[in-house]
Amino acid sequence: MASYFRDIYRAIKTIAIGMGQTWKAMFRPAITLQYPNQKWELPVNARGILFNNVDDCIGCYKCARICPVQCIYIDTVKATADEDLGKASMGNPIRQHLIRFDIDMFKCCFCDLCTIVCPTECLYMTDEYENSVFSRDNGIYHFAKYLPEEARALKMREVEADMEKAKAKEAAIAAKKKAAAEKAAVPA
Amino acid sequence: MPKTKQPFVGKEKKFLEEGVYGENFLVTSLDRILSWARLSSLWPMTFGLACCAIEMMATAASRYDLDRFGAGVMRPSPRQTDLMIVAGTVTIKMAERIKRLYDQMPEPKYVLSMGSCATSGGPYWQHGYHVLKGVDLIIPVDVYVTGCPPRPEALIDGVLKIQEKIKKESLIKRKMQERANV
Repeated sequence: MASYFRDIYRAIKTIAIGMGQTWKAMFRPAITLQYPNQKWELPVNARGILFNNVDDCIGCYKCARICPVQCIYIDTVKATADEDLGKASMGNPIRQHLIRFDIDMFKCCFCDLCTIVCPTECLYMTDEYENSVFSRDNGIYHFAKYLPEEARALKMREVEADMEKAKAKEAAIAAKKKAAAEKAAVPA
Repeated sequence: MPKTKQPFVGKEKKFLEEGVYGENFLVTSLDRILSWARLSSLWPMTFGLACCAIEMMATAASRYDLDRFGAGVMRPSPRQTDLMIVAGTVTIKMAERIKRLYDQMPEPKYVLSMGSCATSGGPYWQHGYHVLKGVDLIIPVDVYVTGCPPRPEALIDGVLKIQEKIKKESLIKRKMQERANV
């Protein structure tokens, strides 16, 4: 008999404890973040989408080399002697035309190494994170200093210069060979 | 769902001004209301493959509450779902299963590729002999979400993008086209 009433008492007590929790939860303020209307204030070192300030970029390839997944693609063309491209805001002289700076954000693993090695601090992580896209290609970010036509012209200039250099080298080698042959021919 | 104002135009506007419809009367096309119903009850599949799944769980939990968009009913079976959230690294062994699960889902179905790994192989895209380089190689993907892993907000943003896409679609037109093709 005693155990019967003890069980009833226990049942009521445990239910009261449980309902107490529920009752408390009723008056607790809601914690849900109303996302599209409301956003967290992110910490200063939050890692978001990469951004490159191309006016300050000197095309040093440091970010592309340190990237563990190699998601940064850079192409540069050396400036000729009579060209002056000025200086970056931190005083580093710019010696190359930056004709391509692409970041594939779908390969990026947000390790933040590229921003650490950047000597001019032109590459940094923004606090933006919403960039869902409908197409895979839209995840590749192009940072451009030149128009595509200008970039192509610069590239062509470099290719032509290289070809001329190669031609000159060939000619020099041929001349050398000729001279050597003549030299060999004289004493005989 | 972000509210968008649909201004009344033409005949509808004229009728509204004349009071033909009366008060508390909503005018819409069947097509639009079907899309609205579909986008407000987008059931995702419980499908976590790697670390992105942790963020997906966080998104479904009370702090971010994916249920606010009607997309919080994580179903354990592909046959009850509309949306497949590919959350994580897709290994080549798993790719077959993903394809099968996708085929088991009823039409109309949507795929959200979450994070770098699912989209392009992520950190494994160069030397990962065991990783599929992008889930879009085996199944059609509607929305790609960047991040490694993406924040819960980013995933919600992706779901909202899918809802936008559904809003633009016409189920009736699609059915008619299917019938015409048969």
